[in-house]
Amino acid sequence: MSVALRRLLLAVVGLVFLLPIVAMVEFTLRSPSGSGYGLDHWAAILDPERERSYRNLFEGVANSLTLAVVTAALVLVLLVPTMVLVSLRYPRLMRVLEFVCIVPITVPAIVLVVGLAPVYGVVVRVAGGGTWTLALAYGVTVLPFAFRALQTDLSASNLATLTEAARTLGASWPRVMTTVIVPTLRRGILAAAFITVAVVLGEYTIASLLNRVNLQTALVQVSRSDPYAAVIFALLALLFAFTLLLLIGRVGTARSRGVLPASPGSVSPASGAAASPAPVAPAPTSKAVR
Amino acid sequence: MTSSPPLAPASRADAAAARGAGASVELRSVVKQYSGHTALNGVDLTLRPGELVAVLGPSGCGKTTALRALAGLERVTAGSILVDGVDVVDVPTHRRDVGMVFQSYSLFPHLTVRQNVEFGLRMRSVDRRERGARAREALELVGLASLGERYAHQLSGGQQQRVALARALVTQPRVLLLDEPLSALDAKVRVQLRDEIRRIQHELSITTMFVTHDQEEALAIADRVAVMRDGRIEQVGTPESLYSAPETGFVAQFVGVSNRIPGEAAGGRARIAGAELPVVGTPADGPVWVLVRPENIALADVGIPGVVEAVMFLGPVCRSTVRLADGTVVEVQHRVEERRPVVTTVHLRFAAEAVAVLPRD
Ligand SMILES: Nc1ncnc2c1ncn2[C@@H]1O[C@H](COP(=O)(O)OP(=O)(O)O)[C@@H](O)[C@H]1O
Ligand SMILES: [Mg+2]
Repeated sequence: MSVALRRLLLAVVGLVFLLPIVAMVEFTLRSPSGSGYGLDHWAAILDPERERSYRNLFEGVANSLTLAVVTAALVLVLLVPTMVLVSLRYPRLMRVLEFVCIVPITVPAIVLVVGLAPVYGVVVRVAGGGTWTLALAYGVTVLPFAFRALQTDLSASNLATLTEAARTLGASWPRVMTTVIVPTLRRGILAAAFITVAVVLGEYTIASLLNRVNLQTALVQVSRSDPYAAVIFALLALLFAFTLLLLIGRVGTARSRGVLPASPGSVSPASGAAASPAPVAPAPTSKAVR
Repeated sequence: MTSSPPLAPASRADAAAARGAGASVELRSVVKQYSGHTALNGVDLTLRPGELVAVLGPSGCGKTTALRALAGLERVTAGSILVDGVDVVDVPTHRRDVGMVFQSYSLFPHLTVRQNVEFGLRMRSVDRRERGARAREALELVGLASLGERYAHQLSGGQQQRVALARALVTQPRVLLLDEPLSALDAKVRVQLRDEIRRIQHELSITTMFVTHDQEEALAIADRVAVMRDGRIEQVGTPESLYSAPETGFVAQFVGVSNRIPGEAAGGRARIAGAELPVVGTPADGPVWVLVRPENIALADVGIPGVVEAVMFLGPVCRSTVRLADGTVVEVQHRVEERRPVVTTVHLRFAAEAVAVLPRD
């Protein structure tokens, strides 16, 4: 393919992606008076006077961030040790595990919800109706993505030999996990975490059908009364997801050049990035209320 | 952390005291079965303190399994493994105090060379300054002191295996285990590192088990060689004794005695194709296979006639394949100038060296 053709294709594709975003930005910058541009709509978001009308939206953001963190933690805590164990001890079971983890991608969200509704009847009775409980359903939907991300890293590293080397050098199993396995799979773990966060932030169907409030359902609701605010928040969510994807890329290339700080203690900047802006309050409070 | 294992001597004084002693190792009737498959079928092997024993055998004969059993990476089905007289079969790997170098590259990719070498010391809670000093010492031992800040992927294969060796040695383990550490390297580096392993092993006088499928490597490096076949040790002995007196055809073939000539044993001598040779040991009279090394057969003006079938140039020498009148094919090693064209008739003479014989059914 010639360079010119490649550039042309790139430009067309870039335009296709860029146009809606530019349109969204343009939309939010329109002056309320109807002529000219201004930052009025952006300022309105931070205006304490209007806080009431956006409360639902802020709650949606908080819920989604909470869900992103809880889902990522849940998926990683369950999936990483399982996959490591299977690949080291029962490699023949890997295909079974893969099948189980990939299945959710073949199930349409609507089918999932029809099945989930009665399940959540039970979940709410047992665990309460806290926001975080939705993470159980989200965990299932992100399983295929998280599995793939981890599997790529797992099959690229000869973890079995590294583990055995560590053990002959005097490392007990818990220390092997923290000093060898997690640092070796850091890329996969980070990628799985980022993808989980991105998927959870974009989720609408399940939350909507189970009557939960998250970023997407709140956006839809707000857009009915205040389309400007909805578009602004959509833009911010897009920016956030884009930053996450950039981070994945950075982590990947840094590792292959071997310039990462080698301390195995430095785990994921992902959990840090996702956790810091997240007011984790809603989950415990709503649970305490019940 | 569950329990901090009592590991190798942490202080240098203790270590120095332990050094030079070396541990004794004994495998007693070790059996390892995988579902429906016996990988080790009663292995008996003793390593004296400070000795390097090479375990030699074809691929799949159970060498790696034996080594891993000794390291605690595989649970044995039956039998016992004694280190300094103490049975260690129930001791988990991380407390066995062994150093191991693997066939495939095994450096931790997220750590620098220095951090890799320090790993075992970190697991033993050696303080930072001593760790640094001992890691430097170990890296100097393998000649890589200047590469401490590199990562594994910035090293050649040979360098990676050197680092792996330094990492295994830095804790001054009781036993060093090497699983075909040279097989992924190219020929020149392989010989170099082989000799270096021997030098270091001698210097530290650490009890060492060296697994290989390469007979030249085993004979060059080992104090004693254990030849393995189908999950059993077939013969153990010094390289010289294996070479001059193989007890079975398998051993003879594996350590490179390529000529098996049918003959008759009688009164401590062996008769083959018109020659009579002294015999190693005292075999029973009767039909035997006589094992003659190619370098102990010479081309001569008179002697046993045969026809040259092929000539192989081996650098300083040549090796000719000669078919005798009775159909026996023998390999003869000789100087390059003596080489004769294919199909010419030549005469062979056996050197008056003692030969090993094996009973022929
Ligand atoms: N984990 C395992 N499960 C089943 N069979 C195995 C396993 N590991 C090794 N074996 C079998 O045990 C035999 C000995 O293997 P190994 O010790 O690796 O041989 P070597 O190192 O001499 O090439 C082989 O036949 C191999 O197929
Ligand atoms: Mg092997």
